[in-house]
Amino acid sequence: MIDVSQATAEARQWDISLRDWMELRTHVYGNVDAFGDIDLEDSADEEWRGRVAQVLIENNHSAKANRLIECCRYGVRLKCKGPQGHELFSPVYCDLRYCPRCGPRQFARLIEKHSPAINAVSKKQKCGYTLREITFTSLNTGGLSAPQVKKFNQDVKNTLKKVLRRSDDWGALWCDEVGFNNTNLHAHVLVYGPYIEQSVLADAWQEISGHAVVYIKKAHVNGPKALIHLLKYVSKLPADDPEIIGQLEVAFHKCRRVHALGVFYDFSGDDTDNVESEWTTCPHCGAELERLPGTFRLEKLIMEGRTFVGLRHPERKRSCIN
Amino acid sequence: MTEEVSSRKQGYKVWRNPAQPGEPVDYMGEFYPPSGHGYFMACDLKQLGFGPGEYTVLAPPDRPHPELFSKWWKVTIP
Repeated sequence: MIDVSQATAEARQWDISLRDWMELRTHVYGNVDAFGDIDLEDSADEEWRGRVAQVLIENNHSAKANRLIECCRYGVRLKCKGPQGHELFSPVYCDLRYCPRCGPRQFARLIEKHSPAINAVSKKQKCGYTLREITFTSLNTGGLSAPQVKKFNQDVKNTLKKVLRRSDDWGALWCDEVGFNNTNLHAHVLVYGPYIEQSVLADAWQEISGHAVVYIKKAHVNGPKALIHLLKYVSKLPADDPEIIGQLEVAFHKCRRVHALGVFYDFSGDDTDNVESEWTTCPHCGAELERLPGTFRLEKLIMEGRTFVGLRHPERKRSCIN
Repeated sequence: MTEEVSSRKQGYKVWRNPAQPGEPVDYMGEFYPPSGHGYFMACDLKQLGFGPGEYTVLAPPDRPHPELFSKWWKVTIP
């Protein structure tokens, strides 16, 4: 953490500005710990990302690999179109499912997106209906591929539709997960609906997917807590091995990880994240912003004296959150 | 004031980088490249009596050809 009095004294002694003092620190030590919470040794993280990126490149996902490497380390230059031409920057995020930095961001977005639906059914429950937790499991084949994940999700969807076909106004929300450091694919489902017999559910799952194991129980918590419980693994890495993380990213390419069905599908669409994270105007003068080409290290952009303006995702679609 | 004198109004500040992370930088002072160029090379530092090590150099704002020579750079004397 910077000792301001020491920094000021040294800058005066060396006859340089405080900004130059900070630049010197960056050049010598690689970064400046302004607030005392920085990880001074982050080369391990860079190395870890590099190994995940290698798996992505080997599987023809070079663009994703590049995003992962640049995530939160690089940013884009923005310039306002006003007469003063204010200079700004915005960090880039990879938004990959298994990025340690973007996972918690995705979790927050998902909570924001699906909370209204869960809150609505928690407040006004239909007679005999309640929130229940189902776990669908599949046989661990030792590997995972996109067709396998897609089939698994289709099987979950078909099973729920089959067992609830005589009911109205039911809803389900599920999240695909794998065991820690393995490829044991399973789904945790939060279902709002009438009582479902375990044996009926197991028979339907067996018939549709060929897999045997399924559990159902009443949700042990209600409302928002049930949603947080369901989605918590979105914010946690399912492996510490970069090889496995890379393989999971490949397997889930173009496969949604969180799904909504029935009355939970596209409920209210109260996702404010897209609006609030969008920076299209200059915070100094309100003029339109223009993105300049290229991505650059954040340290460089900070040293250029640019203003941080957060995310800019004007074209992000809600379907990207999963 | 001649052009040469005016270009020498501000010198190049030199720091010796620490051998171990976390150790303080060592300010060596303000110098001018003896070769007369607008930048320091390892041989310039050696000529000024600097020993082996890595140095960080801060160029003055009025350095010649600022579009070619950056404000900061590192020089290593093997």
